[in-house]
Amino acid sequence: MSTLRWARHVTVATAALVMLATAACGPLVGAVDEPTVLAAASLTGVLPAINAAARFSFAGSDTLAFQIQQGAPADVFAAASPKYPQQLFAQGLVAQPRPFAINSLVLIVPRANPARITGLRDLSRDGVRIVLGDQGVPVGDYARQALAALGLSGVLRNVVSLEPNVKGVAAKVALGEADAGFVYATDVRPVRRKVRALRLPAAAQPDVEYQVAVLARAPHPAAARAFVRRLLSPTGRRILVDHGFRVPAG
Amino acid sequence: MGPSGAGKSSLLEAIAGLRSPRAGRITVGDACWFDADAGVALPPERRAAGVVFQDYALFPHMTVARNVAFGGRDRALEMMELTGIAHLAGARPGEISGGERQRTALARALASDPAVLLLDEPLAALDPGTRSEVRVGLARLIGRLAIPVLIVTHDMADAAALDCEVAVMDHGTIVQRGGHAELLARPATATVARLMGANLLPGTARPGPAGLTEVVLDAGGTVLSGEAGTGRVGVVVDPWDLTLAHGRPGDSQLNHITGTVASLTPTGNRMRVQVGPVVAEVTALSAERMGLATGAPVTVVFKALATRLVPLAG
Amino acid sequence: MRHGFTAIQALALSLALAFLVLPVVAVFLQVSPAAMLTQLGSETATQAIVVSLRTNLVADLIIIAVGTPAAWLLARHRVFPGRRLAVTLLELPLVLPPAVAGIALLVAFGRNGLLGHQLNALGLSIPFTEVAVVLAITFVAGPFYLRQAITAFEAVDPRLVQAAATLGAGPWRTFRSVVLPLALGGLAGGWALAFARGMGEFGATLIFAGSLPGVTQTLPLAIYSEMNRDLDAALAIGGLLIIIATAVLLAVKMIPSWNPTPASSPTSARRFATSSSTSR
Repeated sequence: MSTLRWARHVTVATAALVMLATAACGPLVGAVDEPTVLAAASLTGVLPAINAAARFSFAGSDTLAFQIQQGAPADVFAAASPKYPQQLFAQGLVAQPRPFAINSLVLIVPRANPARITGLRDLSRDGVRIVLGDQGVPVGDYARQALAALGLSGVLRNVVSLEPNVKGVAAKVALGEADAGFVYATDVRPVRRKVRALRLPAAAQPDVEYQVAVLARAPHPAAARAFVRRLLSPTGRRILVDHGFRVPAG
Repeated sequence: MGPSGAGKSSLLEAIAGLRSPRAGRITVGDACWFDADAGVALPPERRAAGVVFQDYALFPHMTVARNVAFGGRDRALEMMELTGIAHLAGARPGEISGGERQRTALARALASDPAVLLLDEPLAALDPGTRSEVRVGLARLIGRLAIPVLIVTHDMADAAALDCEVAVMDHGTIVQRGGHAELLARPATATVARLMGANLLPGTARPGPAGLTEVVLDAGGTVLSGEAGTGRVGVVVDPWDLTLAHGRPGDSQLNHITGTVASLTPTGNRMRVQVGPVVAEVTALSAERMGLATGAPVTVVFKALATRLVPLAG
Repeated sequence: MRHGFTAIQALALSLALAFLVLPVVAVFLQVSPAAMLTQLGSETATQAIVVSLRTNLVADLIIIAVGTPAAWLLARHRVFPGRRLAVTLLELPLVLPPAVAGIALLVAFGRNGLLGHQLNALGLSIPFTEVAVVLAITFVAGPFYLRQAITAFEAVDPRLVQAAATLGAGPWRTFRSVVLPLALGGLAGGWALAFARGMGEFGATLIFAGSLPGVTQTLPLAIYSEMNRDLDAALAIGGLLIIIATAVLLAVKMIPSWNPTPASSPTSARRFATSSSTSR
């Protein structure tokens, strides 16, 4: 038997094997007709409560936007800011984004509060260790906006780490390694036994608007639209409020 | 000498300090290297024992010269000349022959100016072709050394060729000590008898009749051998290939040595009979029939084809 | 059938090569060398390069200084109570997810960690500093060197060590002039593995040391941070890491390896091993 024919057989067999394996995995992860949702890390707690059957991938909104640009096979994008959904909309990668929740930025400190922080002004004291979201990570950008609005940009020299997502900020403060960090109000819940949250002055409170959009090339468009509908429905809004979000009027 | 597992190598390792005995003392000259009762146990680097390992254990990443200098810089050159490896100074162990490796190991051990030289099967790693040649070189070298040399071997030919006192070890104890001829003639145990094996008759070889080699024995007389050889050789013949007779045989192909019985040593149901320079092994029954007794005249007969020739140091 | 089997093997090799090499090549196809150089000149990249090189250098010095004698001890004494346990514990970080390593380091050396009080009393605070990066790298990369070093030392013929001793060499001289040169190839292979692992360290560093440009942001952290902002910058840093890794791999293959020579058949020593000692 010639080498060439054998090679062809093997190629076909290998391809078949790969397809078989993929097919076998398919139903396992991509439940029959449920959408795949790429969602901001701050939505980790709430979205499964709204639709337990969907597949979720939680990460920084910027990371998710990057994945969508790279052709991630997902159906819905729920971001912690209008920035990325609008960007993707302009690029034709998602349908018209809709605002669905509003979060607020809070300052958290460890329960023991070793740096004795009672307000934003204390953050500029020498030796205070602050963690922020990285540049381009919404929670970080909101925090920088808030500090700039209060004329406290000098606080930035106390930053000891720029985290790739909000959970990183919350974890570092909860473990007591950092003295303070800016997170969303909704991120306080999972760590509420370990941290204390301080409100920001109204003047500095940014509008943390969450937007959701269906991906232009969603493999499950009907399921994606159903997911968004439920998210915007009275039930969805009630669950969001239960988890500490506010909801947009209307 | 001793069968494998007798503890020969362990003994060398104990002397070199590579193994700790449970009891006993090891002294070399006035120096005590080990004393279990007194709690003395010098580490190997503080014992002046030169060791040549069975596989030579040369440092593969060093040249021959650096290997030897590792033992001692000052004596390195002298020892390389003594062992005849000076021309190999720049070569690495992987690039030289087995015999050359053995001489490098010797030079290295000697360069450390040892108080005793320990050789563990120094010829075992060599192929049979080079073994006898290297054995001659070793014998010559040892003859020039002024320190005690302890050689472990399982090969009777080594013991015979090196012409030294032989201690036979079995199950961890030394069962007999003596010259080669003495052990051959009067083995204390069956193990000794089995180990000592063949007679070795030193002499000088020259071409003989009928394509045979004629060896003029140092002890007097001539022996014919089927093997080729010239110059200094040893005639090797197993005791059980010797037969005893009264009177001379007529066959010219047969060697014969006439003498009187020097000793009779029973080993099991056999009898070792020493006649002049050779030992014959016959059944106890035939020894009795022949009426052998110490001092009785007898002729030893053996075939030319039963002999082997090994080269000896001149 | 022999032909068929050979074909399968050849095909498997081609598949493996294509699959493993393609992504690496893709990085360089995506960014031109000129663009890559420009990107690497950016502040983020240069800072990350400095942080990565400095922390890895210190970590590797620690790993080699502590790991080498420890590995020699473990290789030399193959039987002692607790040896298996010790080796297993040393290898544990190999199989630990980096995130676990990071959080473990945090609860050990963090401000509120196991040793937090003692460290605080000394005025030391490790998280968010370069020290934390060094500890993270040492923790995850150290076992790679240790494991390889133990193997390398075990491969040194114990007879040679004994021979050195009988020639009057004390333990230090024996180690320096016999054991070390013979194990060097394996040690270098172990170091290369540790270095590569250390340069790529991400999870433990992020959790334990955080990510701050110029302080704790190493090259992999910079890639992650840049990926959302500037893909080309991320690719450039990725390309740099690939080049570094390739250089290390090549350098290690150039180190002479001393194979034990058989005593009876003379073979010339192989000065340059064709196979990496890392695969032993």
